[in-house]
Amino acid sequence: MMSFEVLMQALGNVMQLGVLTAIFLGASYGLFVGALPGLTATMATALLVPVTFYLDPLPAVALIVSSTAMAITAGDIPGALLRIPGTPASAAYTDEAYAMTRKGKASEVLSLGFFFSAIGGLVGAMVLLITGPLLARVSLNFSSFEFFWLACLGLLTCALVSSSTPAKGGVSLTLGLLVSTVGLDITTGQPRFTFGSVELFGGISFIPVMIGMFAVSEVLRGFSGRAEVIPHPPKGEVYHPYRGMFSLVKRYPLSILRGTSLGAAIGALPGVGGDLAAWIAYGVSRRFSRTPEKFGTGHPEGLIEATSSNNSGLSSAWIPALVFGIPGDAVTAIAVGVLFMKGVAPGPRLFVENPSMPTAIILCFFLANLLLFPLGYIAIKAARHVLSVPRAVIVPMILVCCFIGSFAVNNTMFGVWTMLIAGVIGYVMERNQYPIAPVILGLVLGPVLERNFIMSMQISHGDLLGFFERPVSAVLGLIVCSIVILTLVRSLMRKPKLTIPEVVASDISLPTKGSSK
Amino acid sequence: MTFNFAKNAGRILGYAGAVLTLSATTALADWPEKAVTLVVPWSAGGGTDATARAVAEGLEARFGQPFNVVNRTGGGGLVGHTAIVQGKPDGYTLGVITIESAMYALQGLPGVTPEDFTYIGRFNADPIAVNVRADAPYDDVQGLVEAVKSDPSALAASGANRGGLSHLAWVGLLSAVDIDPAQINWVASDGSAPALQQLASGAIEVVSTSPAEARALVEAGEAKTLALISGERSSLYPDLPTTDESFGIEWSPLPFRGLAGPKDMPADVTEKVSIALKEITEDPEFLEMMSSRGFSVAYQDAATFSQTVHTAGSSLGVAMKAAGLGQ
Amino acid sequence: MKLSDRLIGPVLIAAGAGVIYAASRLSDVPGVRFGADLMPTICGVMLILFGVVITRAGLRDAGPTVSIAEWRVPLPQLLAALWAIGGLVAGGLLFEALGFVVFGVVFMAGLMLLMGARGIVVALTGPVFVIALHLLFTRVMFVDLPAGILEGVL
Repeated sequence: MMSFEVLMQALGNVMQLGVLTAIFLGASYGLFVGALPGLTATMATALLVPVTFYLDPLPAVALIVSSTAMAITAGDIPGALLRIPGTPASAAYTDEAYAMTRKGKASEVLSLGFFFSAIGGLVGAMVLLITGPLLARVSLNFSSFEFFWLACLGLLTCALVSSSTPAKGGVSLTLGLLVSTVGLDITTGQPRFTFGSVELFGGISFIPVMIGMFAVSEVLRGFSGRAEVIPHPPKGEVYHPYRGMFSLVKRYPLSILRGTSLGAAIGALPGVGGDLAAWIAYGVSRRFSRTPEKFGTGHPEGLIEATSSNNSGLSSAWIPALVFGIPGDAVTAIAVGVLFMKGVAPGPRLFVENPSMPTAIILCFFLANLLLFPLGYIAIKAARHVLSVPRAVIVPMILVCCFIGSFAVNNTMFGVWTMLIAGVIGYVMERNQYPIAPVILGLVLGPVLERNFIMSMQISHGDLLGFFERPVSAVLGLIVCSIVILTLVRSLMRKPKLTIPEVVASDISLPTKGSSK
Repeated sequence: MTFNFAKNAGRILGYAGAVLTLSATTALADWPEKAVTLVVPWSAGGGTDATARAVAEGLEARFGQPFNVVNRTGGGGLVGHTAIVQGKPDGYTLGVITIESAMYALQGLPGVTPEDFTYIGRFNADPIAVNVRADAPYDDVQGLVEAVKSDPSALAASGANRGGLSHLAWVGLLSAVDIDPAQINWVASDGSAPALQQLASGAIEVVSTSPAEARALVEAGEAKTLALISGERSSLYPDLPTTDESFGIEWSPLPFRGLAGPKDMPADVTEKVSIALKEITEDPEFLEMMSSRGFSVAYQDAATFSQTVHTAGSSLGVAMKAAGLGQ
Repeated sequence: MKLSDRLIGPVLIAAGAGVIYAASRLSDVPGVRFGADLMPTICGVMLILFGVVITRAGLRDAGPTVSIAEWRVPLPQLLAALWAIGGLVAGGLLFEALGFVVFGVVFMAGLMLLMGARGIVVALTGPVFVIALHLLFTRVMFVDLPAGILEGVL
């Protein structure tokens, strides 16, 4: 696709002091914001907009590219250490990562996050460089019918993967979907389940729910009699970031390949891609794993696949935005705005008239992902100090962060109340082996599912067969239906057991070494 | 394409200088003594957010205090508009309001009516356009309307939520040419981006949205813009016909963006911001930014703006009743 | 709090029925066949179905209906948990009046003391951490935090 000449020209444009400085500053800023629990990549990006007023187009975009790539990866740090996921995507594997931390493998799980994110990001950028505009054209063929099936697929995998009993996963999922229906309904323009509160008109944001369900419920569990203590890093031991990563590469080459290609493909779909890729990748990884029973207990395999898909999807999300001006999420929407402001109008003409610009943007992704290695090294070294803070100090800090992070979502107390209620509900759910990850995904994908379903019904005049008329839609539909039927058949064939086995992440017995308080 | 440090440093110094002189002159008067919050009822990254941030930047340079843009999103803009209305009328809570502010009361939603604001000034107004797929069998808006007339429910249209301005513009146009609004197949979507995706994938036939948002798809040869739903041609798109001239009707639902605050703001503050806004809309850098994104600059002072909003409210009310949306 | 599926199942069924009823009360809009009630109704049906499955499993469950055994913990630990949740609730109610800094410092100091941190740590960590957060949010991230009692000081 890209000629060598264009590539060299783009490389020349990127290798300027100004652009490189922007990439470095953006990445450092992203690392900082992403690592703070409760602050989101969107917020980080929106704050950069006024700064970009003073920059040339390429440094402006480079700043945004590198800060998002870094913020999203760094969002995994509080997820792994404190169980506060940074993005809906990272909620897919927060429990797995946290389980590794509780096994005393904090250094390994952080290294793994940065290392395979970077690998995924690099491979994803490479794929884009070659297939960018083609991928964009394909993604443009996706209508509400295909989006509906994709959302179903993501929700199904999540519900099935996160619990040993499908019914309990299903309850969690339904709860998330139900909460997502609160607010002003776009189809009829009438308020739904808002009880007259203007705050509820806007719906319930997933960020405070996520903070509450994961972090606050974990703090509560820590106070209860079922807590086990995270082993402190023994004194004198030096963390070795990235040690053992190459042996993981050799052990799970297929996971890396699957994760990155899945990420690049799903990520290019505007609107759902970024959030879905990691969930589906994690589900796929478990399905094809030789040791699926280890998932959820702090096993690196699914983490590798999910984190690599996450970052490779990140860059492909820019393709529909650059080629057709259809931004899939807030971050790319802001970036498109910045490009417009700089007189670089996204669109296919950009690829024809100024091909070095999109190529240069992809190269910025490349560099930002390369920067993940050294900045990640520093972050992992610093993370050691987080874990060595006594519990009596870190727990109050976590709660204050949860409080302020939920407040900052929309600058209202409403976020804080949501967070607290979600925290208590999340605690009770987990105590009774109802997984919480599907609640988050249901909440995030609920509107996608509902809108695309209703749009499709409206278009096909209520004919359900319309969901199987378009070829891609038919294939996706058949996959979803066969998963549902297989699950039903399997659970009917299986004789009802006397008790439901308690094998969820929170119930692993851990070696409790190190000091307790 | 180098990042010119000297040039930028110079510009930043220039701003700093302007800030210093301005803060010296405004030191006598009280407002603004501290940071001002600028509420934007729409999400970061959209057109309203982008223009609001540019305006905030201009106000900051003129008043020497930070103007913090806060996105209060949700409920089709209702949450943010309510936040503006409920702010303290001390001049430290301002907001960017859009035409939806005149529509909530008509839809029977609580909290916001056109009487609840102190109007400061309008800075942008762009008509909605009719867009179809590039391979659609009609070359002008008459052809499209003929097709809708022969079978109103066959052509699916989208662009916003039901009751949103895109919907009203489309319904109002069709009912002006005597098509029964109840027959129209409106596919509710969450804004124009998903609607355009649907158009490109071939699932729907019409998207009513601003020409700026459809521009990239049009340039890609995936879509074409047929006409503006307006009474006046746009200076940014001089070749686009208007539906008023095509059908001899009068239907001009003009979405706007303007500055406003809570009711009963001090008159001298409103006056000051209104003058500053006028200066901003004449600033070449602002003009360049707006035209690069396809937004036109259309300043109105406080009194005119207030009148525009009230007129829009009453004419939209008529259209909503016709469409069976009014209360 | 451990709840038996005997209890959760019927609660889910009831909730499902309630959701379907609430959805049916959403007003119909002319010209919209698939409206606001569709998705909540589907959710309601799913809740009822899962509720039945879970009730069936729960009938074979021999454990107590409700158990709060995990909260039989030493008193300071229980107090800390109560302070954590109660403090956040109080903070939410008094946020505007107190301001973030005052709330944060008091909340952290109380929790740290209950969790057994040493006096010097309590005296230093809270204020430093909270003020740093306050500056970060207000000065760098432009999030408006109420100054409360300290209006004019910060």
